[in-house]
Amino acid sequence: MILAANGGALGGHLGGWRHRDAHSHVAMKLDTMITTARLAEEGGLDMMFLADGNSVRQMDKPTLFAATSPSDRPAVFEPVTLFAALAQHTKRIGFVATATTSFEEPYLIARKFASLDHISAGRAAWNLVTTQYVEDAKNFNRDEHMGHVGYDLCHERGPGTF
Amino acid sequence: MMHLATIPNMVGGHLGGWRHPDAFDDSVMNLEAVIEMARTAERGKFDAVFLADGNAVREMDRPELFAANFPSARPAMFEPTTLLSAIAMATTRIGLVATATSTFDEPWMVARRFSSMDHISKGRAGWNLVTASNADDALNFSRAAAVGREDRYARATEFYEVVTALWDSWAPDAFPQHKATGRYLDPARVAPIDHAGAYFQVKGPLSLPPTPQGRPVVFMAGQSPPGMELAARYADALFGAGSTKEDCIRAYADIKGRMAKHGRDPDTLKILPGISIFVGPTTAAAEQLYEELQSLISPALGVHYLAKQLTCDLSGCDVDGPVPADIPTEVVGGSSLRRYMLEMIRREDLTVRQAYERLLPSIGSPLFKGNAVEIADMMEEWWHDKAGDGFTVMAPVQPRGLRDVVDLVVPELQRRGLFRTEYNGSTLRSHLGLPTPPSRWAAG
Repeated sequence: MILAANGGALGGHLGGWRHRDAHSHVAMKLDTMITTARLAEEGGLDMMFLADGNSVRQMDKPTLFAATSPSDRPAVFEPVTLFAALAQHTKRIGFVATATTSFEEPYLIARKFASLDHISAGRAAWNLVTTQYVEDAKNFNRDEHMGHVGYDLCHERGPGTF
Repeated sequence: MMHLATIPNMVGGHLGGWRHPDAFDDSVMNLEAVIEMARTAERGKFDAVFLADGNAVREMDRPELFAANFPSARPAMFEPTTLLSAIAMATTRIGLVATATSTFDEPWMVARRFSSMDHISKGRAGWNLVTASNADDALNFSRAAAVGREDRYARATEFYEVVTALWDSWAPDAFPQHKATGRYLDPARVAPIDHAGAYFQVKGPLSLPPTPQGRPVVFMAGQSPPGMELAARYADALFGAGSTKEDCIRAYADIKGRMAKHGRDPDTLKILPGISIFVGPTTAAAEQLYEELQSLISPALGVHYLAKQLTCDLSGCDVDGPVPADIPTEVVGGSSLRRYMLEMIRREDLTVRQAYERLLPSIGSPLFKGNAVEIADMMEEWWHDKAGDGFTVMAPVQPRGLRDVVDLVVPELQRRGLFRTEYNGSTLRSHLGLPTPPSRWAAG
């Protein structure tokens, strides 16, 4: 069996971060991420995975925003730099970081992930996503998301970049 | 107090450096080697390590130069923010400065990577903003040619403004993470940046709170007039360059003199000109290292650089034959250095090989050669005469070169009270003595 751990610091349940057994602070706490990676490695898991996005969501709904839902992402590490750091605290576990073909350059993605693979001595993976969220598009010179154009770009950029 | 940064360049700062017996045997993608150098710099209480960068493999069209490892060819490099995030785990105090280009990257991505690196390193990240003038880089980013200078600097200015606005998206107290009430964050302590300019439209906010040092320190190079202007307006630190002390003094006065009109105190920008240090326990030992390295310059590189300096074509020449007699002494735009070199070649009847071995090491960054006292004398004099607020140190052979600087030169600087004996703070901003950055969330 192949097992991946979702490394989201807030836990996988909507009320998870409020539980007495949850980390008392998780926003930008590197130590909590190191703990997660080491636990997953101790358990022999194949990999640690982080979902990602490039915007802060739900700001227009303050009550919801204050309570934080899992994909709001108001305070998250950039995944490739984070995994480069976590690789120094682990030896075996794989690291799967997300990067979007919709807003990032193929050369920069190829470089970051190849670099992470060298730094981790062969433990890097790229979760290729196209981005459908309007909020993300608004951080990259666009008024709304790219629709099918995103998938065309995806085909062009997907194979052969490494 | 003097400030010191160093470039942990694995192949050394000298053209023949990687071939020396004391150089790393394998410097290609060698993480342990980079960590060793960062730790050596930290042991020497350096302010920062700095990674130069580019986004292309260059010189492929000239196989002999390419095979001999041309210094800026960059055929095998870590991506700098991932590398420094890893190095942050192996160090505790030293600043970590990575290069990223405003010409081909996105402000959101740069703001995010460097903020992340600052959180990971607990306040030690620096961004060296470059505009990327190289045509080879442009070819990797859907462009047919290099982007023009004016366009690059207009974009860089707006890019900087977007990145720094994104870094200031949140108030430092925006995340109460209060389990009992379920209030994870305070919606009143964040705002979008709503940027709409000539180059970028970025809504924000950034998905990271302020960093441990407020925001990452911003370095620039500031060589060209628009680069100097941008640095005077916005940079926290500058990797200066000049081939002589007089050049550096002139550039220092010029850039600091431009700051008043932007309402800035000249002391809030630290200028660190690059120097190459050849040091040994004695003057003779330093001289010997220098001689050893001269003989290790590959002819392909030596001939290329000599031709470039003399603005002539040496491609058909025998490397052990004479430098052609028909090179004109005066050319349009020729430098005094060129004239001096040609005069020496003629006077001493040098072969091509003798000419590049004799002349090349003193080209580019200034050469500081001697024992520790002699090197410290030069550094003190340059610092005292306002050629810089410190230096970006390059060492010819790694890891020996940086180790020698740390073990020989740094103690002499410390003995004179010119350099720290211990870090006083834990952030790069504190090492450089920079003020707290402005913030829209600041009280009052």
